[in-house]
Amino acid sequence: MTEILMPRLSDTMEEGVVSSWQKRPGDEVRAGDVLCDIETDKAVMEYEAYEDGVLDRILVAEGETAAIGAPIAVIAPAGGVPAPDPAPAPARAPVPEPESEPESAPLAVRRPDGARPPSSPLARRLARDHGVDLAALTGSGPGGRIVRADIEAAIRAEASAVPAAPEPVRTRAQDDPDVEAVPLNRFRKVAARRLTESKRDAPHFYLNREVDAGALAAFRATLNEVLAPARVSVNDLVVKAVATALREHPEVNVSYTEDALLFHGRVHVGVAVAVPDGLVVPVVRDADRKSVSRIGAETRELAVRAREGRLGAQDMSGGTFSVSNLGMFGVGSFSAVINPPEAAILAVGAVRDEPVVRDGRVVPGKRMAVTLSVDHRACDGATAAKFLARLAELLENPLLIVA
Amino acid sequence: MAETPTRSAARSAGEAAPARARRSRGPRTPRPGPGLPQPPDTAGAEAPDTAVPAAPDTAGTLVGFYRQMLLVRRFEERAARAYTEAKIGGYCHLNLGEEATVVGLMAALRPTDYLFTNYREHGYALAKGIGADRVMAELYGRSTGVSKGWGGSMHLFDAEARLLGGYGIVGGQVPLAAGAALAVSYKGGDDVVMCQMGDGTTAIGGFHEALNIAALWDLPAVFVVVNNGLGMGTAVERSAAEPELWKRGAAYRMASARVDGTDVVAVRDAARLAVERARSESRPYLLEAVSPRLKGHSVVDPARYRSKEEKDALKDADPVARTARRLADAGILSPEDRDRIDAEVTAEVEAAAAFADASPQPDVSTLFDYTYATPVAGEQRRLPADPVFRS
Repeated sequence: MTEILMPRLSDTMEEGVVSSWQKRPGDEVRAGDVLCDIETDKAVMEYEAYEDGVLDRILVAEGETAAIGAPIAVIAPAGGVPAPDPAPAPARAPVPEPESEPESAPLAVRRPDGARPPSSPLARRLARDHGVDLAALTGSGPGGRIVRADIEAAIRAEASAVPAAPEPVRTRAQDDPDVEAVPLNRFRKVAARRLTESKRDAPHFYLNREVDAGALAAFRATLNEVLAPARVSVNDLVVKAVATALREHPEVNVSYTEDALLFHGRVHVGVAVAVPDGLVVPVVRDADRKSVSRIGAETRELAVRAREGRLGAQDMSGGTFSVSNLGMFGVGSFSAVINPPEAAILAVGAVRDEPVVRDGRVVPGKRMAVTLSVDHRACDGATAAKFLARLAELLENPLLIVA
Repeated sequence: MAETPTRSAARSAGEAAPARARRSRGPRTPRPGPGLPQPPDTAGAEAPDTAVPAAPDTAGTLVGFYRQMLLVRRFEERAARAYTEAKIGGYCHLNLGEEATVVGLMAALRPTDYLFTNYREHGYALAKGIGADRVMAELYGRSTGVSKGWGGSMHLFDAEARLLGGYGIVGGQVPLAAGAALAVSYKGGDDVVMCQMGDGTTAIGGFHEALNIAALWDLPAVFVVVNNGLGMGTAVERSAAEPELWKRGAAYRMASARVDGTDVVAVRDAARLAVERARSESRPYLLEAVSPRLKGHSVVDPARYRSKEEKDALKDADPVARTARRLADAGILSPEDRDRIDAEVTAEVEAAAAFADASPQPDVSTLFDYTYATPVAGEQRRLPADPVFRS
């Protein structure tokens, strides 16, 4: 058994994201085969195997981050029976995964004990000249680097202990009392990166559709009566309908890559969940093969764990399509940003009471707006429109969803 | 012969001043005078035949070439791996795919000939006779390395092996090589200076200046352009108005040729012709070896500018595998021999990596000890954290 470690692929890289696995557990691996794509701070690099064997286990899922030297997979000897677990990693101790570190206090310098905090040469000289202890300071520069302003602030702070010291001059934006700098948490960092990537790389187009939601609302009420105390939400029905439609329209259940269009054999639907400090998209796996009530139970369980911050990366990876629902906030309609590498996302608005024309007469009815955002590299307008038409048909005839 | 030996302007004696001090050169062929007809420019010859009649290569020589090529291959693969393990810092450019060129060129040199290279030079150091352990240790930045750990991947330097440096600045080595050739010419002797560079370097000013002065002064220098088709990620055709780079020799009335850089024997023969001409006639030469690189420009380059088809085609044209096949077809290399050689060089490379890993880091106090060979006025020995001005 050989552990595959997160490689360092550029000089400035400290951690990498496994953007995709080219091999699956059980696949035979030959030296020189591309194991996975690693996203560094600079580029996406292919990472090749150094020896033959069989990919035994993947330890870092797609989309997850690991520090350089951390194990990301295990390769077993070719043809052999899976041996017992590998001996602890070679002498090189894996750097702890950044995810396991607490998101620590604002701008604090994290460093191993005893190491000198990062600081600029000028700051070091000023510190030396004024007898300031660098280790006692918190840097405000990039990456927590101690810069001149920090030393000057420390000098002033010391001076202000003496009466009649001059009032410190606020020169930096971070000193503005009206502005609070809250460091980015992990979710926001990941979301920022991925959403920027999506908007930059994936040419979005949007398809809007109004769905007659009268039957859907009635069906949900009936289901809830039957299933009580369990409940299903409109969103659970939407997720199931989406999964059913995806199964019938595999050309939408795809991912675009530079080399090929990947058709996903399974349907994993991500559900956007707002958490107090950001947005996460846990994935309901094989949603097309699960009952609506099961989808509902899983979604609620995932949402609870998301809000408690207990979601693992495997809970949030592998989606082939996403659903974002802001209906519960009264939003009529909106357009969502695609969650890469998926090809599309459905934005679901509120179920509204509206006058509806039925059999030539205006009657009270219910409407729901859905907007499909599509990656045009992966999917064309007519293809997406057919998918959306089938989705609308399912939503308007909800018995088909569970049929 | 893809030569352009068309120097028509005969110069009066004494004009080529510095070269006059040469002592022990062979007889020089008289140059055609202004009125003489020019030899035809036999440009189409992409692979020059060997004007130097050489004895046919023995099986031992050919297998020896293969072994060296495989050593370069395994060494570079190990270096790439060590980089991902954060054992090697800084830049790291590999000779993967250029093994035939590297080995062929070095086979044409005598041990006493000088070599200048660019930053893609690990293989050249190995083929020039420097141990894999000392080269790997240098990549690791250890004090047992070729440059005592202070040079790293791009700055291998060994005066004893007459490797006068890998250079990190594109084209930086070319004027220096001309200078070394001037020194050889001035001091006398029949050493030759070979200067290796990439295709992108031919668009650098220093390339023109060095070739111009080398031709003017009849310096015993062989300039070798390894044309892998890409200056980092830019195709030669997009950066060179004359993409047949060997033709640039015509601008300096310098003999020049192009050779298939994936054929080790062809490279050795072409280089031998150039080197022996420089040695016996003290005239410079421009040799272009066309040899693709298998990977990106450096270890951090994912080479996205190449399509999958191009990458597959490169793998198929791999000169190491090709050489093995040819030797096997000729009945010189059995599969057992091939595996044995592979095991031997792999063990050699693994031992080099282990040696490098176990070697100590250089002491910071020695940082400036090898910067200059002679005292330099006003030399600043300032460490990165030191103040610019001492108060």
